[in-house]
Amino acid sequence: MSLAILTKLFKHEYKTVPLPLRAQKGLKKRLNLKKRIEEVDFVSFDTELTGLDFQEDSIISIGAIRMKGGRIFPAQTFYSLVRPESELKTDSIVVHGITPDDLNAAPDIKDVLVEFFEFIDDAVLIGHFVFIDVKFLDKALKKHFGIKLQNPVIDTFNIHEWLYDNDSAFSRHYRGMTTKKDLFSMARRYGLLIEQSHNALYDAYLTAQLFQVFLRFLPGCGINTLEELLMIGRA
Amino acid sequence: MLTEELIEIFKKTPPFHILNERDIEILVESVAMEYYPRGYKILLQDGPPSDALRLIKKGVIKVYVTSEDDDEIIIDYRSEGEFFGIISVISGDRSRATVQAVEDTICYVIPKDILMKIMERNPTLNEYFLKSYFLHFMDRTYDETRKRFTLFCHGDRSLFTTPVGAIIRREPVTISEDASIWDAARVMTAENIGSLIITNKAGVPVGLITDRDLRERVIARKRDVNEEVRHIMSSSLIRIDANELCFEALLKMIRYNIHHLLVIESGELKGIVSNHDFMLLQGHSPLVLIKEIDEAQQIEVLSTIKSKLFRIISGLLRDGAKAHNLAGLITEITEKIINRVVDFIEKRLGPPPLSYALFVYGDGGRRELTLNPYVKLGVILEDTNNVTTLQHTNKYFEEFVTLLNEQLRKIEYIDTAVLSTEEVRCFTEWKNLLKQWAEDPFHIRPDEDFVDLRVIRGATEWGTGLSEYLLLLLGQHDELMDYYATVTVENRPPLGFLRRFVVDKTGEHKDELNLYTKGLKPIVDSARIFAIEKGISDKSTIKRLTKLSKRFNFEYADDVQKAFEYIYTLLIHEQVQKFESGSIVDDFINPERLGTLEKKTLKEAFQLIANLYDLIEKNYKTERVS
Repeated sequence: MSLAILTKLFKHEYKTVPLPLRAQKGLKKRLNLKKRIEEVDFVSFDTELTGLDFQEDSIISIGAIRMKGGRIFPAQTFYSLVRPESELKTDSIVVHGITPDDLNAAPDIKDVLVEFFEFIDDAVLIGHFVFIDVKFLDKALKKHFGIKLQNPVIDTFNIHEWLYDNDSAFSRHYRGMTTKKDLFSMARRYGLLIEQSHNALYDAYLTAQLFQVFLRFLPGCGINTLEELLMIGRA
Repeated sequence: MLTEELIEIFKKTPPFHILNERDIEILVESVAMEYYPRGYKILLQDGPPSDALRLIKKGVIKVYVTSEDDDEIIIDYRSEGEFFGIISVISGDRSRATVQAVEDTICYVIPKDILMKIMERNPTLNEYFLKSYFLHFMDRTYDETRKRFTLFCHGDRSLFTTPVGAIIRREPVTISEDASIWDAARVMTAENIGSLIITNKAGVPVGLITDRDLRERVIARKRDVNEEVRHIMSSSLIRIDANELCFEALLKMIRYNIHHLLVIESGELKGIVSNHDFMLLQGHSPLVLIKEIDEAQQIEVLSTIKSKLFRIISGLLRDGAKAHNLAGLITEITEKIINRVVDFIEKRLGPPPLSYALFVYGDGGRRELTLNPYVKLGVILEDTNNVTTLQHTNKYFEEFVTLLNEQLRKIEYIDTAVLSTEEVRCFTEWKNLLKQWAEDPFHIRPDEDFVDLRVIRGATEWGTGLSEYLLLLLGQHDELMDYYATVTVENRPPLGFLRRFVVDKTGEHKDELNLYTKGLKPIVDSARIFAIEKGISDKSTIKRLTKLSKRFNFEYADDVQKAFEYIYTLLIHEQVQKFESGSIVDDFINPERLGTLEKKTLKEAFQLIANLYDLIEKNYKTERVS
């Protein structure tokens, strides 16, 4: 494919999508990989799902919180329920504490995505076991707008694994690390206060705090720029 | 969700709780959270100015400076709910100290530009951060204590807010001293008044007559009503300035045992107030209690006084009484009780063979008794060379001591002994004892409370004589001052590592701390040392501190005074509460039951005491004695 055709294709794709999503175009080019981590805008996010089956299940809520470097902004958040595009399973209702009535009154994923992308802008996304969230996001993006997520995504799990292998200062500080890898076990292990669980916003908040803890140990390992961070943490 | 939680947090965190809704929202919107692992240095001494004010959400930090010899001098520890970095933020100067996390710590970070904007609109914030903690927040803390104490608080605070001038109901009515008794009685009837001021030819008040005087001194004695009125007037005229508060007037009446006071405004007689006026003002007047004590014909009657006193104090607390009001009243009532009991004893034993003065020292001497009063008494006997008289006197006082302790316990006012035969001595004997103390204090370990001695019965000048002699000795014997300093600093403030309260670990008072020995006593003892040093003769801790501040510019004095007033009132609140719930009235408090602001205030107070101790230790030899 020639460059001209490629450009045309892109133009076509992005012309039809709502404004906030159009910013996805050229995002990767705009990214300054040499930026120091403390200057990078991050958004930690989490989704709740009807289930984990990629074919059948769908998103029922999205929560996100803004960060800059290691600073979390607890009052700069995004949270929305989503009218599911699939059946709500009874067993997952208990986990989320969200009822079918709540969800029927919620906006469509299409509208929520527009707002969500407006919120995240060019930020680097953070999540824990984030590939699942990205997979479901991409599924919805493709279905409604025909595009894929362009923001770089970092997994706190990956950073943890890297610190585990490379940084004795970190494991010394916490007198060993954890073998349980889920968000709550990790949060507990690193002394974070778990206030309310299984809500997309609170989980995103917890993930942000976990990321915040890990970030403090990175300069000691020579990780100072976004590029270096992506090398060890990219999902 | 998170935003609302954050707003709630800041609404509860002084000084931000004074901000309006909009400013709180602006603040919260910009607030960031930062994490510092233990050991992390957040600000560096001589490093760049702080970019933000930080509020600790979780964890502990220490503030320290490194001296030229690389010594680490710790200035402070701060934990949850406390701020740091403000001075550097406001001044824009380099940070003066290093701030380091001693535990894994999370802070809320308030960026400088937002903080400055909000401060511009709310100058009170500036004051909070830059001025001393105590001067600005004591009243609010006290309000918190009061709210905890009582959910409702009726608006009637008149005794403590009304100047005595404001309750004068009419112009003073006077009559010349050479008028007849009959004239005076006619004026009183015509004017419908219960008391009349007598003036001399120059119009200056020289005395007073009341209905009671007419009854007792005229009718009962069949005195001729044509006699001049000055023969029956009482000439003990006590004045009070019209600007003084009613409560002070009340206390004066109790202290001098009188029922009327002349109210003076800019040198002119403005009128007269009687206890009756106060009763109109206040449903439950302490004067009723005084009357009851004075008129008790049997000692048993006095056994109801303690519970009545609790009720009156409870009412006064609700009305917003301050520490010196309460302390003054409790001390006066206690003195009255003791004097009345001694009346009964003298009636029973007859007068003693030698004349004597009864004195109170310590809390009573300073007029600082609490509702769990530690009364220490002593007796000064007239000097004599007559051995037989002395033997008789000693025998007399053996009985006197037993009876006094017994009766006070019996009427359930004080259940510990207030007087021992050891404390009954002739004037010269006392002086010799004081001299021995001064010469070898660390061995004899005299009671430092003796400095605060006050006669409550008998020849006042004997007490003053002893006091002055002791002060003289203190001036001559450095070792005695060193001893006072030593016993003072031995009583460490109950703040442990990271400024946590040190409480009893086991036993009856598990998780509690003693507000009297750990809160009041250190302040009293320290203030006394500084006051003696400066030759201040006042005995009350509050007055000592006021003078230290006004005359000697003593930097801590204002704060310490507020701290003392706060702790005293808190203790009285606790004691009243214990009494009302039927518990034993003691000096203990569980600090965890206090509100946030109260807890912080108490910690600040203990920290202040620690600072005072540092000062004492710098100025005196405080080697520990076993």
